[in-house]
Amino acid sequence: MAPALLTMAMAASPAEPFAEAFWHKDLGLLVALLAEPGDASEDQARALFGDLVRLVNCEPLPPIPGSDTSPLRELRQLVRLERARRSRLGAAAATAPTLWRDILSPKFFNRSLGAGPDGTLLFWPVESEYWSAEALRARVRASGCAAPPGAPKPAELELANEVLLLNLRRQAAPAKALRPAAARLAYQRAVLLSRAGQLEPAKEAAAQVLPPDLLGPDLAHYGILLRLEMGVDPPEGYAALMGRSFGANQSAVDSRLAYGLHRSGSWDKLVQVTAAARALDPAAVCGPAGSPVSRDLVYRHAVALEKLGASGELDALLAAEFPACAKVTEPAVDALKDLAIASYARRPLDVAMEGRLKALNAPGRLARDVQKLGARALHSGNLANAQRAMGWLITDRTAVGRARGWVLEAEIAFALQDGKRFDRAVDSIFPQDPAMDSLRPRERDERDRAVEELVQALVTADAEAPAGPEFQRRLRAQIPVWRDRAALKREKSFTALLAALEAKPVPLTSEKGRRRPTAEVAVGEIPVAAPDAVLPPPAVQFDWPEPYSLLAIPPPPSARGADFGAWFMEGDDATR
Amino acid sequence: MSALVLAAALLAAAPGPAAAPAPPPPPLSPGLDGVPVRVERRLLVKSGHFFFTLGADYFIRGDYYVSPGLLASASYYLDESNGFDLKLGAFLSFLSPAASSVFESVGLIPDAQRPVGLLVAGYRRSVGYGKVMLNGTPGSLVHFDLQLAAHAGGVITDRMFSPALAVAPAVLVRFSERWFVQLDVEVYASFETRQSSPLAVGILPTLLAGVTL
Repeated sequence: MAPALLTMAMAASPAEPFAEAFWHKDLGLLVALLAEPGDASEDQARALFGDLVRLVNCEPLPPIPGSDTSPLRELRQLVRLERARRSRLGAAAATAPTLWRDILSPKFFNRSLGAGPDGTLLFWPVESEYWSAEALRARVRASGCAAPPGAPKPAELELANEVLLLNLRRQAAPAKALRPAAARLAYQRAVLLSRAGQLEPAKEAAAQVLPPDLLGPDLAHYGILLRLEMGVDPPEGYAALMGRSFGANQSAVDSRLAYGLHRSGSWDKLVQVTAAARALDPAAVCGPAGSPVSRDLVYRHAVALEKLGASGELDALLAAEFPACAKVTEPAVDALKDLAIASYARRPLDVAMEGRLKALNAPGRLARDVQKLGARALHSGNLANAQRAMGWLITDRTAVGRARGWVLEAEIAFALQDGKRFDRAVDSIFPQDPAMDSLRPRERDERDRAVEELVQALVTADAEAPAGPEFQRRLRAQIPVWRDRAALKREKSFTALLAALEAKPVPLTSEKGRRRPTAEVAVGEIPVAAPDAVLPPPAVQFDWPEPYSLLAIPPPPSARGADFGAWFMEGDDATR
Repeated sequence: MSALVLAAALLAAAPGPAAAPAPPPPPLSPGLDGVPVRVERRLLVKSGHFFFTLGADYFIRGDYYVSPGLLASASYYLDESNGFDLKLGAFLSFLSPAASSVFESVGLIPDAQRPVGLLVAGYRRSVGYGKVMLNGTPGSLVHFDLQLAAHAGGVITDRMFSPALAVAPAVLVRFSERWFVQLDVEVYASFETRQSSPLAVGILPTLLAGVTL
């Protein structure tokens, strides 16, 4: 019913004199028209344009009576929402890119009784007799906009409620002219809810921004972004944002766009989108002023280069970013380090490569990185490099480094199914006599962890390509030995891995009424060809731009049939 | 209605809406300060302008003389309300037929002096503005100014320069941007050396046409 009524209200003429005056920014005329008596057919239009006058003159807006079921009720509600927005914006309203910038400018509306030098204006009483050259005018009450707006009553989110959105969308279904207003409201509601941490209702509201183009050229791309951020659209949709300008949000959007391109494997585009991050000074990327977003972009740029086979550029990138990023511990940088090791694993481990590896992490982690490189080399079929890494490790001056070397050797032997070599390696990881173990507790823990990772790798490899019976026997015999030699806290993991090797289910225990495995295997470094996991993008706080206007204003007679206008275009009286 | 001469002379105190006669509207009318008005740009603009006129007059004094004359005036307006002017006139006075008969029969002549000229300066005050549509079409619309004038100077007679004071209602009618007509009906009081009362009171209607610069 309401949509039909609104269509009638739009088609009917009562609103047109008011709309004409409003769109000409002629407040003097509009105020006079509203003050003149009219017939009942004008009541709805009078109420709406009266609200608009109160809005632009910063006068109190009376509550809409609950009994008011007129089709323009939702539009009046939008006026109140706009007023509440000003309260939230506070002093920034004067400069923020919203209609408040215009309203708070005293000269935006024509408030004069008439133009001309003093004394040249004649003022006649308003009579039914009409004389040409006379214009109906009224002195406009002094604007109240200079006073602080105070707290919004009711609050912005209360006004931008689900019911209003629903009703407006219902009206917009047959009345296409209202669809942009409904989309703007949906956008605003989603942003407000998102800021309030109410993500699920925000997602529902964002889903109503459909299609985002209804938001207009300035906001449509943010509509797309909002839907993506709220999870309405899948991440692949970020690709649609390529080439759009997001101002201060650009790097955050690039991060999201890069994530989408990463997911979809669009490496060429990914290189383009992340190119700006590559150009950043590494000290700025990983220094105190650097952000997770820029580091994420550098990482994805490296991924794209690697996928495109641009090893020279990748090398240059890695050489530039490290050691500046060596001390940063966050997922993107860790992934970049892994990528670097995987890349280095394809080349001989020489002095220069050792220098590269040293740059990746703090000095104490070099042995671990060399072991990783060896494992990567082994699983990429570069046995020679794996052996070089192993050789580097077992001649390391640190006992932990040597232990890691034997761990790698065991893995190589397992890959080669060389039993003797395997036995020699595993015998060398731990000293024969536990009492002769010279490692400090922290070093022991690192060694235990390396062994646990080895067992995980071997069990996993066995599961994928079963070793011969002889090797399985060796493993079954060796895992309990390692379990006994390792710290007690790793016992459950070894037990679980042994069970996995024997294809036995892990026994369950009842804890607080929940049945759960007795051991949860801590997945450490698994040097197997893992599927390309796409690192989720870092959390970012978007500075969502405000719609310039939340209003829906009947168009002037000259634009009859056009969309309800939101506000004035800069420089003329057309609707925004 | 078109058959009638639509002469709706709407007079309003100008300038300023304060004199608008309508009752105040409901106080909650959004944005409204005062009452709505109809606003029009003044077409008869006087402020800072000179007005030069030339026309005819007729001095009626009850002095047995018939005194038609010619009158020229120059006015300058400081603003739309206040102006000054200077008038110079010449009368073609002659004895009325009744006075001539008396003179021919008994040889008596009137005690009154024969006016031959006029020189006064004065002040003009606009007190209202109006417009009239002469035949109901916008093209026939003329704007006019209602004025009050006061002058001082003298009436030149065949015997002396008589000090004179005059007050007048006046109408300044705009016919085009340049041309206008001025109608004054002045009440004159002059002081003459006479055997009877020295105060000579008369009415001087003048109809002048002129240009504004």
